[in-house]
Amino acid sequence: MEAAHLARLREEQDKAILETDQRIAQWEEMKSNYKALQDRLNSLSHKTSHDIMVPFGPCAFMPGKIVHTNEIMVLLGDNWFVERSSKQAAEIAGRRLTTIDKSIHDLNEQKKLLQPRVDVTSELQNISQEKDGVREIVEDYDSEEERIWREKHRKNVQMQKKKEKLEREKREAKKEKKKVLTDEELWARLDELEEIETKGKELQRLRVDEAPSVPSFSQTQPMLDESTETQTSKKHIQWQDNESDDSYDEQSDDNDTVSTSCKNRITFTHTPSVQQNKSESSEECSESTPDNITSPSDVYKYFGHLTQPKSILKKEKKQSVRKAREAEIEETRNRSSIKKMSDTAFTGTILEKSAETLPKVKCPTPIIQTTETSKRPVSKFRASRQK
Amino acid sequence: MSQKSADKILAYEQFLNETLREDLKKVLEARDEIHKQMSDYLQLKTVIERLQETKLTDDVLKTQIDMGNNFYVEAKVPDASRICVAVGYGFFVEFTLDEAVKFIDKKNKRLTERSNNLTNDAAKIKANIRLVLEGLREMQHLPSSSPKPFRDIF
Repeated sequence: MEAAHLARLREEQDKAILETDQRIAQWEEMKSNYKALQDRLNSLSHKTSHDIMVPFGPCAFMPGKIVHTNEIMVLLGDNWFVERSSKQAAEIAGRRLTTIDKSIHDLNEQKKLLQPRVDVTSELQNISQEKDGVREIVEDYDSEEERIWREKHRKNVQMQKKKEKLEREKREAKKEKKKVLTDEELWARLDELEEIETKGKELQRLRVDEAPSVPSFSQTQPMLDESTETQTSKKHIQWQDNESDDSYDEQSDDNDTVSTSCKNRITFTHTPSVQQNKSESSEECSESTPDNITSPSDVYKYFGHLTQPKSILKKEKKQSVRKAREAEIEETRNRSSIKKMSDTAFTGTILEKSAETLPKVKCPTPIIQTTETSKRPVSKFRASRQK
Repeated sequence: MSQKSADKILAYEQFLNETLREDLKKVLEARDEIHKQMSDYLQLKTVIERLQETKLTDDVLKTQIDMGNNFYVEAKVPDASRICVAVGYGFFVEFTLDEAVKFIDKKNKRLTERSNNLTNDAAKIKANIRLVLEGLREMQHLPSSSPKPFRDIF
């Protein structure tokens, strides 16, 4: 920054301050005028008349008297006058004084704002003249030189980038070479991978067998057929006593080898009474019709929780199917709980459950359905159509 | 340009700005002051003439006087046939209205003379300023400022 510019700035700032000062002086004068007027108005009505010189313009007067000292005509502006008592006129003057004070205050604020600017400028001037042992650090700037350097720099960067690119391409080419494999090798690799996979699966299975932490897992997908099972590498839970259960045959014969290789086999015998009970219950299931069903109402009594009276809507079948599934799930869950017991029996204590804990639902539900369908009431309309 | 002539130019410019222009300003201010006085006297003259015309002087004169900041109060003048007029240097003389009018006429004549003198002075100063400006132009070998060519729009 040049000293001349600073001087110019300083000049302008000084001018601004001077202007503000002038305006403040103006307002102050007005203020003193109003103060004098207020005093005069306050003392005016002390007497009914005052001897004065009546002025005729600034350069002439006549001796005279002020009369009606309590009737003042006050100019409100725009040539509108109002007649007030001297006291009221004094009040008007007071109100005007407050506005004048506000203006003066504002101007003083303005001056306060201007003052620091002048200070800053003078400081800068001192710096530029290096008065206070301060030295300005100036760095030369040549736009032409800068431009040349920039161009050079850009070229260098481009070259560097090219080099990098070449290197990268070389490396990639090498990689490509490596990547090219013969079909045989590929197949060999695939076989290898497959083997690893199957091994991994076996290990997985073993692990699952050892600790069936989530026994209900496989039951959520009881419909999985063999093909999907082999394809997908999902977790399986295998029961050791699966062979005895008909409903799980399909799973057991698939994993026979695993279950035989497994060493966590527990063999135990039930007490005869329990077995009897079990057989009884199974008998009950196979027969599927308790003796005390003699009328259709009895069906609802016993199986009412499974079947609702048929509605016209076609939901019934789905519902019943779902119910059947629910029953199945329930059944398997119960069984799994037993299984769990058998696992825990590993520690030495064998818990035997009485037959009551095995619920009646153990009987396969499709049979229930058949009984149900055989006894389902047929509407007159339907009957007529079937004929 | 030699250093000497440059110094001279600077001196002339200083003289132009600090002496001639200041003088001109002062003269013009003085002339304005005189004009103001003249207008005041003329106003007073019209007032007096109105007073004479309306014969208000016979009775008590009622008027509103300014107490400052346009706050007016009523005043009465018992004897309006005599008026005090400022004659200059802070002196006032009591005139009758006729005398006052005569005095104002005379006073106005004097003021006009003075104002004319001041106008002449101002013109002289202006001429000097012009002269110095031309001299400066010549010293700096600047082309004479010709009036800008303008085109008739019609």
